[in-house]
Amino acid sequence: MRITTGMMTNKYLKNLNNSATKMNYLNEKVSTGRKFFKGSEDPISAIKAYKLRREYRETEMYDTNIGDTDSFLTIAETNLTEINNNLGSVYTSYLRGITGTMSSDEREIIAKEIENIQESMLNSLNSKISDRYVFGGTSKDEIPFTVDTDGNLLYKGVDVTSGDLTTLGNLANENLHIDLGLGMKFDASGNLNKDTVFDLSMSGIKFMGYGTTTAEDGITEIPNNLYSLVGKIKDQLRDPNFSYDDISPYIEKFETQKTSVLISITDIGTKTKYLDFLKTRNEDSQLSLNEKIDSVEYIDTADAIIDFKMQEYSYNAALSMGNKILQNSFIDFMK
Amino acid sequence: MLRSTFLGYKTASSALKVSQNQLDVVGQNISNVNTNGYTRQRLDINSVSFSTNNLKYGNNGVIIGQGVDATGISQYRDAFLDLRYRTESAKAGKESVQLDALSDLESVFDEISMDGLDAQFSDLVEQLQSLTSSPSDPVIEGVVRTSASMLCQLFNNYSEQINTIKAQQTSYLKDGAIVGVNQLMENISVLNKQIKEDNVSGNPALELNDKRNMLIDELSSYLDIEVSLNPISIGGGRTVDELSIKLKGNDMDLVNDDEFAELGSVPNGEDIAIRLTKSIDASFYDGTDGVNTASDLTDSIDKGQIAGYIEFLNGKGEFNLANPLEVRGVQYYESMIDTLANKFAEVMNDANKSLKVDIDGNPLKLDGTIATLASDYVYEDKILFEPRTGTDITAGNLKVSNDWANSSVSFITNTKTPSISGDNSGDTENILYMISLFQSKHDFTTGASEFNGKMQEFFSYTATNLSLQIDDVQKSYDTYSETQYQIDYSRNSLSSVNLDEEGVNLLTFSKSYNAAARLMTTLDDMLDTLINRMAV
Repeated sequence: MRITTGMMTNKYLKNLNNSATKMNYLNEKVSTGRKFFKGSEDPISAIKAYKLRREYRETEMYDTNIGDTDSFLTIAETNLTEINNNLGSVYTSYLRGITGTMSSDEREIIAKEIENIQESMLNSLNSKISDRYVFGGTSKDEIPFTVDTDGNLLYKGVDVTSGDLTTLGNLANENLHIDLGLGMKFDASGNLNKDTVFDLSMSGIKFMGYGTTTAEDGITEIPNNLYSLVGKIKDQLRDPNFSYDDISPYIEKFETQKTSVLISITDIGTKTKYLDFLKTRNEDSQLSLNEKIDSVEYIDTADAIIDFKMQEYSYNAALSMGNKILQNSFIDFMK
Repeated sequence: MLRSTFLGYKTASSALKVSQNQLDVVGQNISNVNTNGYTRQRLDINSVSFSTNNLKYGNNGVIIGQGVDATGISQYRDAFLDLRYRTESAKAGKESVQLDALSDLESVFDEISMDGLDAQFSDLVEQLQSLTSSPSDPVIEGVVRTSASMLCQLFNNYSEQINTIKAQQTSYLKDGAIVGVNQLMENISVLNKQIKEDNVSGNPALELNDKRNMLIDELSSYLDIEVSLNPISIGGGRTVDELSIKLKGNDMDLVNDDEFAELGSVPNGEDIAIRLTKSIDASFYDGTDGVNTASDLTDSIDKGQIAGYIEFLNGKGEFNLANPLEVRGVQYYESMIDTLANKFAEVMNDANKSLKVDIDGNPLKLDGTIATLASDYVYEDKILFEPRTGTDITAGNLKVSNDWANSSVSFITNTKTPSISGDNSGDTENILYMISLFQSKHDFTTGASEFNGKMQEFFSYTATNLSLQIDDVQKSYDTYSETQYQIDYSRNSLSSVNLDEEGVNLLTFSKSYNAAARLMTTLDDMLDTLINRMAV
C-alpha cells in the first residue's frame, strides 16, 4: 500500500486519541473504584447491580423492622414480668395468709394492698411503646383497658367478664403484623398469608383471661380475668359476711389463671429467640449481598492500577513515536 | 528519408516545456500536501511522432519520434472508493446521531452512578415500613407523603428531561441537519454549473472537483445518496459531464446539474416528517403544502444522520401497534415511563380505598344500612395520586392528590376490615398490603407486548433496554465508522500527496529538464559544425 505523509499523521493522531481516551477511562476507574459508570458500558452487570441494590435496600428495611419488633417485645416482656410479679406478690404475701378467722381490720389492710396492686396492673396493661399500646392489639388512639364506674374492667369498651364471648375471643386473637422479610404474600383477593409475616400482637385479655367459669356449686360465676378476679377477692375481703368458703373458689381460680401470664412470658422468649435468628439471617444476607455488589460494581484495585500503568506505558510509547513519524522526508535529504 | 536541418530543436523544446509542466504539477502537489480534500494530480503526456498517412508516396526510411506533448492534467481518484465511502458514511452518520441522542436519554434513565426513581421507590417502601410501626400517625404519614411526592417529582422531572431532549433533537434536525443538507445541495449545484462551464471551455477544473467531492462526502453523512455523472454532447464530438444526486431507491433528483431541491422538517402528530419544500420536478412537489404525498420523504430516508434523527424522534417500538418491530426511540421510552407512573398511581389508589362505615365504625351497605356480610361492604375512593391536568395519569402530570396533601388527619387506609370493637387504628394489614404491591408482580401493557414484574423491575427493565440499545448502536457505529475510516485510508493511499514521491519527482523532472537542455546544446554544436566549420 502506498503510504503518504497525511495518512501517517492522521492515523497517528487517531491512535493517540484512542490511547488517551482509554487512559482517561482507566484513570476514572482507578479513582472511583467502579467497574462501569453507565448502564450501556456493561448492560448485563447493570441489570445485576440494579437487582442487588434493591435486595440490599430491602434487607436494610428489615433490619429496622426487626429492631423495632425486638424493642416492642422487650417492653412487653418487662411489663408482663411486672404484672407477673404483682400477681405473685398478691398470692404469696396476702392470699396465702387468708384465714376464716381474720378480723375485718386485717382484711381491710389486705384489700387496700390488693387495690394498689390492681392499679399498678392497670398501668402495666396500658403501657405504650412509641404511641402504640403494648397489650392493646390494634388500638392506638384509645386506651385499651378502662374501668367503668362500677369497677368493671373493659377492654376496648367490652366488659371482659360479662361481654359477648365471641367478640372477646376475636379481640383476644387479633393480629398485628409486621414484615420481617419472610416473603410477605397476599393472595389474589387481597388476603394476607399469615405465615409470611410476623405477628406481634399481644392482646391483654389473652393472658389476663376473659369470660367466666361456673364454680363447683353450680351457681357462682367466677370471672376468668385476673384483674376482675383480684377485684372479686377484694370485694369478698370487704364483705361484712366474710367467710373462707365464699372466697376460696376465687383464690383457687386465681392460682390456676396466673400461670397463663407465665406462659405468655415464655411465649415472648420464644419469639425473641426467633427474632434473633431472623436478625442473624438478615445480617448474613446483607453481608453476602454486599460481597456480590462489590464483585459486580467495583474493581479489584490492583488489577485496575496495573491496567492503567500498561495503558500509560503505551500512551507514552505512542507519544515518543510521534517525533519519529513526523520526522524528515526525502526532501530534507535533497541537495 | 531526408531529415530536415532543424528537426531536433522542436523535440528538445517540447521536452523542455513538458519538464517544466511536470515541475509545475509537482509544485502544485507539494503546495497542497496539507490541503483538505486535495487529490494529487499528474500531467498526462504522450510521445509525439509525425504521421505518414497523408504523404503522397510510401515511405521506406526511418521514422523517429518528434518529442513529447502534454495532453492534459488528471487526478488520482477512484470512483468506486468514493461510492463505498459514501455508503458507509450514511450508515455511520445515522448511528452517530442515534448514539448521541440515546446517550442523552441514558443520562435520564441510568441510575448506576446516582440514585433516582429506583431508589425513591425503595425509599417510599421504607417509609411505609416505618408506618407499620405507627399506623394512622399523621406525622409518620407526612413522611410517607413527602417520599411519595418526591417520587412524583422525579417522575415529572424525568418526563420534563425527556421532553427537553426531544425538543433539542428536533431543533438539531431542523436547524442543523436540514439546513446543512439544503446548503450542501445548493452549493453542489453552484459548483456543477461552474465545473460544467469550465469543462466546456476545456478546463478540467480539478480543484473545483475536489471541492465538490468534499461537499458530496459531507452530504452522504446526512442522506444515503446516489451520485451519477451523465455525459452530454457539446458538439464537435466532445462531451462534458452533468452531475445529479438522488436519494438511494428513489428516482427523484435532489440535485441535477445547476438545479436543486430543498427539504424541510414538519411536525406530523407526535412525529416529525421530512418533506420537500422545493422540488426540481413539479410532479413531486408543486409548491402547495401537504397536497402531494410524494413530497413526504420520511419513509424513503433510512440511512444518514437525517434517518438517525427520524428514528430517534419517531421511534415508538412496541407502542406502534401497526409495526411493533419499529426501532425504539424517544417515544418508546416516554411511553414506558408513562406506563409505570400510571400503573403506580392505579394500584396505590386502589389499595387506599377505605371501608364505608358509620360514625360508630359499623360497615355500611350501598344503601346506607349496616352491613353484616363482608360481601355487602362498600369501599370508597381515597385518591392518593392524581393527574395535575387532564384525566390520564402520565409521568409528566403525576402528583400527590390535593385531598392527601391537605389532609391534617390520617389519610392512608390502615385496614379494610371493620373493627371488632373500639379503636383499630393501630392495625397494619392494609399498609402491609401496600408494601406488598411493590414486592409483587403486576401486568404492564406496553403496546403490543406485555411485561409481568415488580414496579421497580419494570423501571430497570426500561433502563436496561436503553443500555442494551446504546450498546448495540455503539457497536454498529464503531463498525461503520471503522469501515469508513479504512475506505478513507485506501482513498488517501491513492489520492493524497506523498512528499517522498514528490521529492523524487522533483529530481527526476529537473534532471529531464537538464537533459532536454543538453539536447538543445548538442544540436546547436551539430549545426555549428555543419554551418561554420565546413569549408565552402
